[in-house]
Amino acid sequence: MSMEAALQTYFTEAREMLEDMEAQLLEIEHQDADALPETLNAIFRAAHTVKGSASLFGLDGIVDFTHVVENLLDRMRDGDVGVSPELVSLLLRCQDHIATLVDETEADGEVSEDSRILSRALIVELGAYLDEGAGSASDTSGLPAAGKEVEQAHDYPEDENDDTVDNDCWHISLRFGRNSFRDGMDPISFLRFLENIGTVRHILILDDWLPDLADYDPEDCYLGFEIRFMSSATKKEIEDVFEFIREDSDIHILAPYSRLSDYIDLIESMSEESDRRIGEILIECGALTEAELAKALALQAAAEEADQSRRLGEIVAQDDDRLTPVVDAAAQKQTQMRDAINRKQKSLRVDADKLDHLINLVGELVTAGAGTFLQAQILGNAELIESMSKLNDLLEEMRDASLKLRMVAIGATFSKFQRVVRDMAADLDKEVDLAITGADTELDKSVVEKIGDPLMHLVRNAVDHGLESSAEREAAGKPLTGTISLNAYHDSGNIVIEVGDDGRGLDPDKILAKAREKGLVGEDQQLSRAEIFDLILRPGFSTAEQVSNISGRGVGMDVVRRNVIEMRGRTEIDSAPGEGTTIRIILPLTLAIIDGFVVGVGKAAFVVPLDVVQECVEFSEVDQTERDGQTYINLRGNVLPLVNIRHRFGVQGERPKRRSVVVVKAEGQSVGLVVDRLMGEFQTVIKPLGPVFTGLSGISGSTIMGSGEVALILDVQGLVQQITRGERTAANH
Amino acid sequence: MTQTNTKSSLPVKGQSTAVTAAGLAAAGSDENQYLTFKLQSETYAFGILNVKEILEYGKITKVPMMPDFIQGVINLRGEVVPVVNLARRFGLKASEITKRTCVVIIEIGAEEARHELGVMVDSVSEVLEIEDDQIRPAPGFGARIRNDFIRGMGKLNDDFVIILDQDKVLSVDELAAVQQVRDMAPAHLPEEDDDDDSGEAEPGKG
Amino acid sequence: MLQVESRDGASHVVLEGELTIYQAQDLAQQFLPLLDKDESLVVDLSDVSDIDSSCAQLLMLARRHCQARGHQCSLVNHSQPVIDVFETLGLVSWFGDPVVLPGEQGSGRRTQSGQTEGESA
Repeated sequence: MSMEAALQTYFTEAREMLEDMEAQLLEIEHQDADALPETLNAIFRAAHTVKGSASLFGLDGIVDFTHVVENLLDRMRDGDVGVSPELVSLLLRCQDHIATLVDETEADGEVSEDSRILSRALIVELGAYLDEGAGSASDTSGLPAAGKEVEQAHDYPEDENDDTVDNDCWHISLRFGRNSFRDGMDPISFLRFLENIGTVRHILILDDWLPDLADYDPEDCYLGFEIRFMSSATKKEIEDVFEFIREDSDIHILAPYSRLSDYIDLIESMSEESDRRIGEILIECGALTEAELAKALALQAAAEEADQSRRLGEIVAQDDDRLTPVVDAAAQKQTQMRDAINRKQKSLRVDADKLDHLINLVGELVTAGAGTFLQAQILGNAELIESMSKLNDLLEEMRDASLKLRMVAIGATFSKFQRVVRDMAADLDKEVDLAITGADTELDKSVVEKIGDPLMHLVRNAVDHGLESSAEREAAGKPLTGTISLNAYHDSGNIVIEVGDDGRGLDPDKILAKAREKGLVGEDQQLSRAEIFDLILRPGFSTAEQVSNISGRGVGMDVVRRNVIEMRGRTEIDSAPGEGTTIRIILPLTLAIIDGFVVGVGKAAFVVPLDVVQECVEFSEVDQTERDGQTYINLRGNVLPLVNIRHRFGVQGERPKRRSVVVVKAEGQSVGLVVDRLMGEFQTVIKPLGPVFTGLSGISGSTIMGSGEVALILDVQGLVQQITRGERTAANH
Repeated sequence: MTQTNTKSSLPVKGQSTAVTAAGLAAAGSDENQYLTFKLQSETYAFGILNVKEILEYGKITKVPMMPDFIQGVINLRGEVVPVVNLARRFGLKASEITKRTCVVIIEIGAEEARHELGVMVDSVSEVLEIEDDQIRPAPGFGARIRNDFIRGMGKLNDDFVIILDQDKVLSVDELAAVQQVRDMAPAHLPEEDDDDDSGEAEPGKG
Repeated sequence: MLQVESRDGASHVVLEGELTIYQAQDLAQQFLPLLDKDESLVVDLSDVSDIDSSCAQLLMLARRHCQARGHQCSLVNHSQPVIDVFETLGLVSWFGDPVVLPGEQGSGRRTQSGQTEGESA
């Protein structure tokens, strides 16, 4: 993240924190005493985060004022300052003022003079309450507040605005762990990597730990470095560079323009080195000026004198900070809470219909754009074509972006089945676990809505018929508790949803026998294993009879298949007897868009989903052979069955001399579609054909072309299946 | 090209001319209003409430293997809407397509399953108000079309208009069910009379 | 790994090939005993094809050991890989040996100690 981007994030988050602070302040007065501490905590955290993050960016105008507010809030938290309506009003004004400071800083990079004056005025007002609480001098300094003790510690001389060290670089202190070399962690790698996210302004290698010859182990690492690092990276990004050595090494990272106190802490934390030595090192590598160091050491001495124990406590408290993002370690929990709040605030509930309407409009916009582009091409105006093509690109981006709005995680759909499985298991007296994976997988809301029913069928069948009874499981030496698994993942532009069980599995022989008996499969017809399994999803594969291991499997299963096909998806079944069955539903990521390849037959245009198109070859009737009413051509030594679209769909009109074969592949089978013309690729919004056309085979939907006319989308899956199943292809005349 | 007034024949020209239901309904109180149209010299009517708009017969994309009373689909402002050839639906010979041929967009179905269908008619006539007491039950016999398609006979001076029961005429179940039969039959070839009419879609061109 | 030539009370050591953590033990065994042999040690780095922090550290140790005894220990003829690593680690200024930086047309630019180093930005 660049500095600007990080800063932008800060402004946005600060506003959210301030809104939160306001809401909490308004609540204070209506709350009973029990809830008050938590509310005060929340307000304090908000102020603290706004201040803490502001100091990261050196936004002193915000830091200095908010710090005072924070101090007062801290007192209130401790009960030193009582809540009163007047105080709440003052805090609300302060909150408004901080918001103004944030706005001004964002707009102008600094706080206006007027606001500075107001800051001082408000600090005076706040001071009155602070005095009331502690009876000590009001604290208007900018040192980090770790508690109310800090106020007493502010005896040492300090100018409010002179606290920041004039160093525009990050300061990184590295003490590599003894085993770094053995672990393959060569400092060189990290230092070189550091160069990827910024510039090393100065590097100082430290030899302080190099032992005498006698104690030296060539494989030990004794090295340390002090680095001035110029970078717009965030602290997190810099920390990430040292991710792998974080545990064994000593790493301190100070932000640009850190407070002198942070350097003091750094100096103090280097326990193994003398303060003087590390101070010199800091000067040597340019992190501090000599004057700054002198001041720091003076401050440190004064502080130590003032309150030895407190100081130590504070150091301990802050020691961890440097390994975590600058926004304090103590604030880590606060950060998490803030993140949670932010997430809540950043997501927006939108009525699904509105979203659909938007997506529809965008889809139309794309279509209209394509139409306009067509007109531009007809007119032949180069400038117009150019600008239309730009517009089209934008429209398509916009459509993609708007479709993403509709993506939701499948987790909620999956978790509904916990209850279903639990209830069914109880009814059937089985022990069943439901294992859910891939709950984060996102898919189009329209898919989620339609997948519920098929999944329900599959899960119920898996529990009911897939899993054996406990007794059977025991006999088979399997764990008594059966497992139903739901899994989802993305696979090359598709979403795959799996419903699995570790039950008895499917017996292909029995299925085939039954299918023959039902007349679904011809007596001499040979089917692959996958095709046999697929039979259980076919209509008419009834369940009435007791065919042991598949009994009942047909209930509603044809509905599953139909639903899936309606969604332009397909099913796959894996099963091993005794081990279980996995039914896989493979769906397009979105139901709304298709990359199509447009072909012409007669006057009609058809769209072939591009992802199934393998190649296009010229068609010659001479090469065509016919067997059992099915025509074939020889494609580089392979037999390629043909579907003549003209015949298949009864398209009228004159047949051109030159025709083409579009080779498509689906379900592992290649088929050639004989068409009149190839018209190119076309990305398009799918329009469902509606209820009137349910059951129409060979056509899966429609789309609106750039010209505004409707073109039909070929259901390649269906066409291929007809051939692989040896079904009669329509009219081979 | 203007919004059509009622009580006059409805000149519908160009696909852009859409007579909206609102425009039609504005003519008077809704319930008893009917859009009348001609189909092979007979006058029929649909209740105006469900009539969304009227389009000139334009580019229609044929859907293969559908029964011949499904003329095809059209693009209605981004939605793909099926168009029923009403003459064929009535079992009559398909009408010749003329300049006056129209597609009446009708909304059917209840709340959730609501969708639009286009109905192809020879010409749209007018919007009439027919009071309930002027409507007789369908005759038991003698009509040229299926009895259950008729909601009633509207008396109009000395003439009758056949008020259609849109839910029956345009029953999705029936429109879709026919395909099951078709699936078993050899590939459907469009009837010669509605072939190559000027309105057939030619998305391939351009 | 290394060749030693001793003459006129000075050892001339030529380090060769890869000097990494894998060679560190061997190098320490062969190289460190040389430190107390002569008053002057010249380490030629021209044939070092690769060096890592562990061996660079070994050179640091050698330098410090010699200095403590008032002996000379100079590094000469830094190969390019050595220069790269020394620059990365801030060792050019730490050693302070003249390093011949590759300039245009091979005309070496000499820098004494690391005065100009570090402020590369």
